Amino acid sequence: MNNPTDPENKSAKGSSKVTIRQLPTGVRGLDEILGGGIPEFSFIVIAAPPGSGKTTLAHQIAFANATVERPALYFTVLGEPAIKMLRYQQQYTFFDESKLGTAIRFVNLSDMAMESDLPAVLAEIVRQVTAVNPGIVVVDSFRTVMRQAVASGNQMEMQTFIQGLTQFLTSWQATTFLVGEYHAEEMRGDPLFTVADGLFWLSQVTERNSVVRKLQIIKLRGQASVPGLHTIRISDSGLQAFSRTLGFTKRKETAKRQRRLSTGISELDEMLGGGIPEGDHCLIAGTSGTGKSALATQFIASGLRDGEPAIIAIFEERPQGYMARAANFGLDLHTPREQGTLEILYLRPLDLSVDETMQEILDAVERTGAKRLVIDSLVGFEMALAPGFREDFRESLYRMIIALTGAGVTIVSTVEVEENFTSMPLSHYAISFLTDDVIRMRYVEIDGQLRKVMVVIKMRGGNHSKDIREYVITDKGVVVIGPRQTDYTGLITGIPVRTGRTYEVSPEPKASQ
Amino acid sequence: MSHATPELRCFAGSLIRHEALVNPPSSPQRASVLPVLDKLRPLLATFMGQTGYHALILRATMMASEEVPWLSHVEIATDGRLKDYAELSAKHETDEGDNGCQVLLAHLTGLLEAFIGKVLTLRLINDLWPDLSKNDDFTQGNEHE
Repeated sequence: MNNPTDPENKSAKGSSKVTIRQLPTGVRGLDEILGGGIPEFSFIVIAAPPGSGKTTLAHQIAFANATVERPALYFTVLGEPAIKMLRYQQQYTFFDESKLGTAIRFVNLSDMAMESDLPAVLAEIVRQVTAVNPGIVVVDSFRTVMRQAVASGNQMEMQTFIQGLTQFLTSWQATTFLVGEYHAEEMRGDPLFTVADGLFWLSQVTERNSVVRKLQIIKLRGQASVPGLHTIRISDSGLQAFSRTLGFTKRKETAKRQRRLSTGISELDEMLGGGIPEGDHCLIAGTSGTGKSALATQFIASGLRDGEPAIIAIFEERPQGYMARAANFGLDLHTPREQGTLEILYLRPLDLSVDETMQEILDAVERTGAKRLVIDSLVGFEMALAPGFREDFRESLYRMIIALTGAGVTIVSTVEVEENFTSMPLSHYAISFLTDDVIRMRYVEIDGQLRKVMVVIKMRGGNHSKDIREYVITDKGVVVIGPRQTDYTGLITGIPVRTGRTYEVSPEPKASQ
Repeated sequence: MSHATPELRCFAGSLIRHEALVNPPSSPQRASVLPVLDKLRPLLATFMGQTGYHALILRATMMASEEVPWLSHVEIATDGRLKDYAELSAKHETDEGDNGCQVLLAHLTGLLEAFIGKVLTLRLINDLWPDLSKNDDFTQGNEHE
């Protein structure tokens, strides 16, 4: 029989431990990074250099949690006065003016902080909290209060203030946020960071001309937050956070199905053993003009014809141009786009993170229920990233592919490779290990013409044809025209040697002298 | 540039009259802007600090004094109170009705509107005067030609 007083008795321990409620942050992606949300009644420091979004973050949390019964009390101290905050914060979509004065109350302590000492400021905070009974308390900017004490050389007064404030607010059972301007070098030895339950560090990382905002949960008591630097972006809706493990944590285990997806080119489907296995990542590698985008579009159009929603992520060309080019091959992308079964995502801000791109694509997958995704191209994708992210492109791509294929999406991505006539590289990223299937398209010189051949290099899901097949690009897109070439050797070098004697007609007309 | 549009003047007049109805003055005098400002001051000081409120009322008074010159003689205390407004008003406003009150309050409201927008301005005022009639053009968002 279990002894409930036995400390080793796990069932007894399990039932007696307190359940810490987690408050939503109101910031997309942040709850996941925090391990579920903000621990209720915790004492959190939001620290950052100026302009990193700490006040916006504090507002977002306040608006997400404040109710008339348990309001948010927002103290402004020697920093931005509340009236200025109202002016700027109302620009964000999370700002709800109906909460002002009832669910969210601003108190300006700047006069008191300037005229009185820290005990008086603490007394006023205690008085207001006691009167309002808030669930959320924000002190912004807390650092200015500290600086004042440091400047006056009164370290003990500062320590007493911190202790008094933390003890009172914790006992009052208010979730508290102290917002302060800190630089990285100031973080060592500050007693505030020792007593805080959580430390959210925001920063801006500059790399060449690009600036990327970052968030790090340096400390969070009682729950497992995701370590490392996460990208954040500030838009009309406020902050949005992109976990560096985005996709891994939400990965769905999908049953391995044997369904094959048609590429829209029957001969290529044959070469692939029936099509691209569902949930695979298929790489189409080739040099400029070999028809990679055409093939990828045919793959999407084939799915749309079968009623499968799709997404095309493009980086180098605008959607109108992309659709016009597809129309030249007789592929109508306009209609499914208008019907909502196709989304063309044009992503080219030049300071993107892979996580943001992944989130955009995952959102689109959720919106459309897409089964097929084309990334056209990986080179364009890399160029759209902020320079700091390009170094980690391979690792990020790996995460993205795992996340998307884990969500049941079949991905076809294109990559441009430098053509040479001695070897057949697959890509300059060495990413073929990230792909399940590889199709290589290339030019070959035959009979005074630059002709095109394709070959399936690899398929993880099964056997495939090893034939090298010639193809042309017509008004129907990529069309495979020939059976296996047996009259030449050295086709994959691009400069084959004719060994056969079969008479052949050139697939495309030759110029007359 | 004047922020005291005709809509704001009308709104200011309504607010002054409303406050006089809700809290009638002890002596038989015209409705004054002072009780309105006495209510507004602590609320606005909460949002912008005492110094911030002082600057706001000072600027509103200066702008209003271009139209109502005697307002330039009003002394403003550090907490934003209008020290000798009542005396100056009684002395100068024999034939001008509530003009000084109305213009001053219209400018103050206009400055607030320019900074935090109409919705939030009305929201703050509504917190203090929840029963204020919403039939004027400013509240309803009507524009004059």
